[in-house]
Amino acid sequence: MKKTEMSEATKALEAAIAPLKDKEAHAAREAATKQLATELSKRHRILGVELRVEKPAHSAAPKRQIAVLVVDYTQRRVIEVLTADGRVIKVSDLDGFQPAPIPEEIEEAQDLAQADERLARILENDDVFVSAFSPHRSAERKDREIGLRYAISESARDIRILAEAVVDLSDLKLVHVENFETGERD
Amino acid sequence: MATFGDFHHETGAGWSVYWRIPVFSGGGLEIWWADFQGHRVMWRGSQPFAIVPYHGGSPTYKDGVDAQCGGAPFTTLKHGAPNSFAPWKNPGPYIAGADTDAVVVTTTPAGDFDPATLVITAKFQCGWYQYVHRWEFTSDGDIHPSVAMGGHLNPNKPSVAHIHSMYFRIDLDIDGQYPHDVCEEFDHNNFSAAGDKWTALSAQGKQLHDIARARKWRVRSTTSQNNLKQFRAYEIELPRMAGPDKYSTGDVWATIYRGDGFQFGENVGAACTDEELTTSYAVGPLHPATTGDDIVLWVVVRHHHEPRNLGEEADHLPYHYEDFSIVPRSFIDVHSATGGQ
Ligand SMILES: [Cu+2]
Repeated sequence: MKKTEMSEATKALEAAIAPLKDKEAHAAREAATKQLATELSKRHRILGVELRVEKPAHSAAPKRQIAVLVVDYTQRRVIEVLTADGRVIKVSDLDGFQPAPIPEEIEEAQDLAQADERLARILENDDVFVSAFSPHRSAERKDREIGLRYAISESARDIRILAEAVVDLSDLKLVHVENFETGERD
Repeated sequence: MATFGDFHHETGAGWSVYWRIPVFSGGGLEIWWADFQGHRVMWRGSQPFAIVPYHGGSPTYKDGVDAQCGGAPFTTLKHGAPNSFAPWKNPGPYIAGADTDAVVVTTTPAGDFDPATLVITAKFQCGWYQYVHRWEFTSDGDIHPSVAMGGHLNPNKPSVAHIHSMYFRIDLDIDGQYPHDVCEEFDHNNFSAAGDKWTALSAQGKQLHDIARARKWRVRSTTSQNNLKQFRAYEIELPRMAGPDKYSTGDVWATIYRGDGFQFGENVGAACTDEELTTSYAVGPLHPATTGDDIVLWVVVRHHHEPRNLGEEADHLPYHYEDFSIVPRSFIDVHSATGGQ
């Protein structure tokens, strides 16, 4: 069945696109960490590891590649390390791009925000919940910023966003708070 | 086997297709290597971001890949997560722990009124909203990408109308013969014998719809022919309920392949508009008269949402789908009933 539907070009890809093995992911992380060891600041994090397939030139066999995405908070860099066979083949700065925040980053942002008295007070209400968003950015600022919305719900028809905050994980500080109930903002 | 980021293979309705939900893009469901009856049609297709301006000047969210302007990335939900505000308020039980908890694949045999289909669907939380990404492949060779909006109205602006402009990135590779395709635009100018015209684009750039001219677009091979010596092609048929605006400025962008690790809508939205698609993505010449190119199209599906907050959408948003079609022309071989041509 599969053999009549699948093109020859796709059959040629099968080895390159097979599911990622733990061992490979681990080797890619190791290679990326080693490669960047001297240039990364202390405050960096590996956001993820995944397969990468680039369109091969027609004469070439497709390569199995694994990408490691690293964020360096202090240096305000998002770096992609491309590996093959456990060796680094390319390092690129993804300038201006902010990948989706991972849960650990959102938690870190929430902890920082909670230190603010105004936001801590809002959280005293058990019906309040917090969700992340992606704040406005300007071309000059490359800080890793996480937005947090504080909302309250008593029912589906009665949900209000009480406040918004933006936490800068590069500088480890709260950079914006707006209370929609009182109109206060800074 | 990774929880996210692996390629999963499916077959049905004459198609062989892979899907993937990447680890860190926030751009939702991706379709890879869609082959019909043994011939490559599409290298990759996805709907990585949306731009959503509200009446009154603010907000204008950019959702999905490289979200900004107050928007949010697409967070993968379990397929059974309810269409309600619950997954926003309390995501824990509803967030998919693995891509296979999210994606549903169905195959349906041909019936009295429809071709056989292979359908791949997943849903994503995006702030209080939900988006459903769905790709239908039919035994007629059609692809119907669609996106649904659901979840909950903006809690602080439940009555404020807004437009969802949802961007699809479509990398067609006709019969796998890249980079030898051309991108052409169709106009029905009048009813004379030569009133219809296909024009090859000679440069990358933003394209506008023209309903009065029945405008459509196609990616046509300059090397691969079917058995009737016709160059194989796939056309983009784009229905329209809303036009471009100052935030979402075009309908289709013709551009070229620049890799699979970037150019997925990142760095778009600095001013909460799509202007970077025109100023930094769809830039440069095309070569229809000589070598052809590896064409990548951006296609916008648009919905003006006038909230029914005092009625049907007070509790949650019933899923509302918008779609377009990618339709073959002279792609398949023609066999007569008697076996000859
Ligand atoms: Cu809407």
